[in-house]
Amino acid sequence: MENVALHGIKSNVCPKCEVLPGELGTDASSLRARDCARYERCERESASDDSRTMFETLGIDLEKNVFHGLHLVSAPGLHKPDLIHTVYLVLFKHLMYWISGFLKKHARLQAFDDT
Amino acid sequence: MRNLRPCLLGVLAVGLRQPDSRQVIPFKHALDCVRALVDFNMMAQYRSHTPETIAYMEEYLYRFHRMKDIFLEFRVSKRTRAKVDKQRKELRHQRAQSNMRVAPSKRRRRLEEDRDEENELRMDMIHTESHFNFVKMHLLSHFSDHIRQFGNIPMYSTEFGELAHKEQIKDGWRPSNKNDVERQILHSYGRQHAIRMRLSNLNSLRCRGANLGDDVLGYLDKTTSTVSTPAPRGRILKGRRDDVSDVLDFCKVLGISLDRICLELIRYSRHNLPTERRLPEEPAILQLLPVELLTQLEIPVLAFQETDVYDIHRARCTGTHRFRNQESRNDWVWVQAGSEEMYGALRGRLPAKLVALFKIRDCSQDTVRRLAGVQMLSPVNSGRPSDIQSLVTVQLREDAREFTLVDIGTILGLAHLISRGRPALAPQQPYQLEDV
Repeated sequence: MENVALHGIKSNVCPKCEVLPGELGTDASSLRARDCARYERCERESASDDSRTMFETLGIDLEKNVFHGLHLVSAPGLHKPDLIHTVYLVLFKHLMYWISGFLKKHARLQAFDDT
Repeated sequence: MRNLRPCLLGVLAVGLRQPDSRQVIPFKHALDCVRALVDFNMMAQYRSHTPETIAYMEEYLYRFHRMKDIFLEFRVSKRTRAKVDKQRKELRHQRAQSNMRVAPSKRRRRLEEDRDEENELRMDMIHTESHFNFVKMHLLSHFSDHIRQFGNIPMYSTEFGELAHKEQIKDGWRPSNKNDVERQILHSYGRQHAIRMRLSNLNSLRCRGANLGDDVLGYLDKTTSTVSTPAPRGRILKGRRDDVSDVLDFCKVLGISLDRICLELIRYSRHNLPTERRLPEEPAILQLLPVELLTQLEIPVLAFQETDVYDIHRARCTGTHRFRNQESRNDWVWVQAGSEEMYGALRGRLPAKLVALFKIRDCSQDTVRRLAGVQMLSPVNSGRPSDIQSLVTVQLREDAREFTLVDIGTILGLAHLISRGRPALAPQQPYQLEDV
């Protein structure tokens, strides 16, 4: 959740690139990186409905955050991968839930537990 | 969860063994998916990377995304479940009205058809509504770019921050009197930090040759932590048992015949020792050689991708004795049994079960041999990993020797084996190896 406040984004979007919420689970690569300077410029120059819709789609919250206006600071580059909170505590936890469902469906849960 | 990773794939492979004809493909996809995520995670922990390792990471992630749909039906949200229930209710309601006009003889067949249709509709709905669209799933795709741009991932680990909760908060809370506790915690850590900084400054001044008082120097000598030296490379035997003094006692305690032990000692001596330092071969002399039986072997094992950091593996071998009021413990270990080209993916190493750890003294030459009696397993399929779960299977052959002597220097560390059948070791019982 700290990324939401630090990067000025909504909770279901990537802090590093402009992936759409509906494509988060795909193997989408070479997506456009977030460019906060461009967003700020867009906000200043045109406050039209189109730009607002674009920001809405990209999950950008245009209120000023701690990196707002800082020269040569790339906020998306500050996001670092976190093995504990991304892989161990989330993905492996999900994976165990999926595996137990899969084993239950195929009547293999007991064999798995015994092993 | 971190400890789950090394054993997850092996346990799942054993749980999904011997599938029937309809289960072969789903089981293969599930194993492929789990394997890809586990492999990706292992590559992400590397402390140095080459373009090849990064390409491996991307390949594993691609494979995970390609296979993950096998688990899609277990990503059902509450909203989807409610939709499925509603759809089923409507369907049943429609059928109840139409089935009233069906003849009783056809009703059973119709019921089966209805059930199949209901399942199909349910799966269609689940596949349409469920997804893997959450942020943490997407963040994996940035790992490889991050490594190219900033370096390895463990360098940015949040583990140190998590551990700081203990030092900065819990250690301050414990000695406080629990009144106005936040202020006490802050003061406590602030004072400790200030003292550490002061000591660092004084140390730095001393290194530059500043004139410090004797009391300050004495205090610095007492408090300055010495640089930790790397663990010695030798193996250490511990936990001497008092019930064994010579080879005869040793045979009785292990329940192995004297002839067998003598034969193994002679075989070990001939294969491993130079002619002038061999053990005596006359059984009458051999059986009286002094023996110390021990229960623990400490093996320093280089930490992953480190050159001077060692993990200590403590292999236990208590024989029939109980270990800490629990069952007896005779660990599995890796033994260097040949050159790197042997045994396929095992690279010359074989897993073995410890039977005895002992020292034998050759009084004529005043030398001590530190040996281990082990029961060796053999790789199935020449040590080639399975195509499905990438694990090697090993087994105890019927013609294998029940007791083989090896030097403790050839024991490389603890092995992690997952039994496919009964927990006890039995001939022809295959084992799955995880640490390959």
